[in-house]
Amino acid sequence: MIMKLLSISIALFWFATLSFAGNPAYEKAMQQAIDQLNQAGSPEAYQAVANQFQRIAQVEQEEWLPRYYASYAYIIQGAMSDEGEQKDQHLDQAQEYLDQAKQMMPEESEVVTLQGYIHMIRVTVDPATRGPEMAPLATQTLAKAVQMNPDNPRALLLLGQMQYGTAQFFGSDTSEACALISQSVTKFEQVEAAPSLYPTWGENSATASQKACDQ
Amino acid sequence: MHTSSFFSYGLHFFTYLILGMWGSHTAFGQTTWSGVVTDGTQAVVGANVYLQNTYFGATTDTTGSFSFTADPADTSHLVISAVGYQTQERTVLNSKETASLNIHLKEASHTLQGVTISAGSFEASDKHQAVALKPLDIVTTAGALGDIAGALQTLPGTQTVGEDGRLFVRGGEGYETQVFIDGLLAHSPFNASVPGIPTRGRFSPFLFKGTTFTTGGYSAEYGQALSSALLLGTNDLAVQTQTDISLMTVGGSVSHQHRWEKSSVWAEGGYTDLTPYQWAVPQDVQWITAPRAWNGAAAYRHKTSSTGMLKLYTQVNRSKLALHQPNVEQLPDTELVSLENDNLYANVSFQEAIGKNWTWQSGVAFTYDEQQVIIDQSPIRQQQRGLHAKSVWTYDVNTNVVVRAGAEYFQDQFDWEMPSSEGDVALTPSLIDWRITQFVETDAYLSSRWVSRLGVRTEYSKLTDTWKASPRASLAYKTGKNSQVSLAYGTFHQAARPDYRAVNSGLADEQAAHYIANYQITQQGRTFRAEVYHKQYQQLVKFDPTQPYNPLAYNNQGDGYARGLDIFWRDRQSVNNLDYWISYSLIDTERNYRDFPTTAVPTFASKHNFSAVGKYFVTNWRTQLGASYSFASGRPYFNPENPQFHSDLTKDFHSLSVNVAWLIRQHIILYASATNVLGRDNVFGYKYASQPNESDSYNRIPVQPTAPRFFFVGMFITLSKDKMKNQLDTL
Repeated sequence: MIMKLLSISIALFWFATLSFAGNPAYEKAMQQAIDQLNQAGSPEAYQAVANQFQRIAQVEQEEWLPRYYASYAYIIQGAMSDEGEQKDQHLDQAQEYLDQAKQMMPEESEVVTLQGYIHMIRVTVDPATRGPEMAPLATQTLAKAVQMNPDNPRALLLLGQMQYGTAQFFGSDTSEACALISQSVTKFEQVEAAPSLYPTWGENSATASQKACDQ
Repeated sequence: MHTSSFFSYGLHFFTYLILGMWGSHTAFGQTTWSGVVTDGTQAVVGANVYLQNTYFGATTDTTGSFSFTADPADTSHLVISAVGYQTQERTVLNSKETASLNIHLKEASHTLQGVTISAGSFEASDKHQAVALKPLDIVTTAGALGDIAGALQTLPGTQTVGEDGRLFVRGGEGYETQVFIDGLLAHSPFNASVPGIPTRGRFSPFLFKGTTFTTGGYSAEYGQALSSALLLGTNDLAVQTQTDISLMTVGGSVSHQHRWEKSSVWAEGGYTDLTPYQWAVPQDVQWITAPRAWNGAAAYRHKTSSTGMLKLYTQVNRSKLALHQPNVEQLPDTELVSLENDNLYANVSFQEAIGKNWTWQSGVAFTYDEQQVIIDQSPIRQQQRGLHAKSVWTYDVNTNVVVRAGAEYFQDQFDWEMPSSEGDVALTPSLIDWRITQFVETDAYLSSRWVSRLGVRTEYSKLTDTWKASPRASLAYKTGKNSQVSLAYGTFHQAARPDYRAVNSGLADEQAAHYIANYQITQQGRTFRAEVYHKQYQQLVKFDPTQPYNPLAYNNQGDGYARGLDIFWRDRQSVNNLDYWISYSLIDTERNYRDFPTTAVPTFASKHNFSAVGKYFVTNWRTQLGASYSFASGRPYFNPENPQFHSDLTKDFHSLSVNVAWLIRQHIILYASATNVLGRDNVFGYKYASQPNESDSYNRIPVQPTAPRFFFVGMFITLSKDKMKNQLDTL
């Protein structure tokens, strides 16, 4: 009898997990791709993982996360590239996927953060020409992402980095920027169990930025 | 036993479920897909190869190879996509065996590095890296002093005509260049001036995000310009709410812009006055009223939908000047020359996408200009009203073919008031003309290497009651990854000058045909262009200067030609933080028009024109240092003592200008410039007396700048409500 109850409850538990998980194939594929993203180091690896998210996105028409990650993988490629035309080409791709994610989740701070990130890398293509217009746009967008979710460590980090760069260029005080960065580090440490597959990137960069601040 | 069998059943069930999902199919045998993706010549790296509606797929490596395993199915739909290539889909009958595929991707026509129509056109925008100029270049070019035309004069195909200030393009007169703002004509784009005092453009370079300067062969969308169309695209929504203050040695201005989510307004007021400057820097002429002007401008932008944009722009300008100029007929006497000018320009445009493939653009521009010039107590008043309405439909037939068609309406009215030769009886000639035009043009990407643009423009003029058709054609061929050759041909018409038509309203349009061949190579921040052209003028107006009011003394029997070579080199790559460009133009031109007794080189044409512009950014100082040097070989001038018409040449023109822009803080820029720092005594030409003097020679005076050098200092301050800070305080 006990065995029977046990087996029924195990069975129920399994069913419950399965039904809650929604689409385990999707989750598994995403988790694999995210792991691959975290290990990527070269532009080729980022392109491969972007393609992987792209494949998931074309199956899962309702999911914003594969689009978000595809966009992110393209932003990183844009940031890594040292040729302006190529940077823009990657960022155009990033924007295409982000636009899709935006339509699904317009109020998501993570999505707005990526938009700010795209603007930020766009500036680096030609700082003298694009800086005056695009740099304030990047700052504004990131500030909006922070406002939407003040606990989003990635929004805080990029806003801090953006301000840090600006302050350095103008030779002005970086303490405000550094305060944002250390706020971001704290949020990374305190991060509660996020919904599975949610973005987690940025912690290493935050600690590295904090070190730069401390010097 | 029952319990355990249930348990084991359950376990099996889950085993099946889980393995079934995660690849138990290995057990049944998977299909391996592999192959190579190329574009015909080389491997396509990073392409995404996958089975549609599945997660199965792979990315091509540096050799273009891919390989992945997937569940077997009866048929599979394979998709191959890569940036810069047309996505390919293939239905593959599954043989349950290893599939090995050779995939050949075609380049997408509209790639960033694609072939473009480039003959006769310079684009200034920050859209691509390959453009010749950036919008910022217009304001940071030394010697240009923030004047659009001044900056464009450093490009090949233009002539240095220092006493005029307008754009003289490839053997064309100043009036042969027309300015279009968001596709709509600006009837009087340059400030009013008097002979010998160079003018400036009325429009601030800061209003525009994209500029295309054509030196010939341009689209059928534009007409009424024999030589050149300068296309200015205004800014979209203001980025943020801010106030700007300019304090300059020649005046100041204040502007404010406010941004809402979907709309923005901007307004500016300014005053310039050269009185203090002319007091501080000695002038070669005697100013009574130094040039002064009041300006007001306002703009409204509204994003009506994700693809719709409404733009309104208006500006008013009032200016005056007065000076004593030497009277060449009775030296050393002088004559008083004065000018007053009022100008209004308004422009409304709307753009919207209709469905997936259609775009509709419409707009109206209106110009009102009134000027009064008094030369030696003889006043001439001129009033001009100009209207241009336009509607353009663009249809994307497919990704390779775009068709543009449009209709336009132009109306011009001129009224004059001038003293007659019989004393106080005033003459009040006037001129009213309207035109309707249609154009249709097709851009077709014949392959990833070939693009063609074919168009035709038809115009009907009320005054001459005639229809004219102007064909236009361009063709470009990509010769390599970064290089292309292009050809352009077109015929162009422009109404004769209004003061001529006021006397003889039957004068036909002047005509020009352009033939252009261009080679361009762009690679990693370096651009080289070479262009050769031939331009044939016909139906130029000729007249007898002794009978200015006799209609029969005017005809269309003038003609001319211009041919030459234009070279442009720009490099922002070789030296860190240094950006420079070099232009050279060689021109051979002659014409027989106006009161020329014979075919001759016009006075505005110099055979050789050269400019070099450099900008160096010193990061530690946040300072940009700039210099530009211009050279023009001597220009012909009319010398009544020489029986050979226009056979005397002025000395060569040289000018070296420098500037510095210092970003003091994020919101404060200090700008200083000096034009012709070496103080070269440049002469643009000579003005001769109409009659010989007592010693039987002709008096003459050189046409020169009012002072050899020009200095400018300005401070530009931006005040913005720092939204970010306010928001961060609430954290």
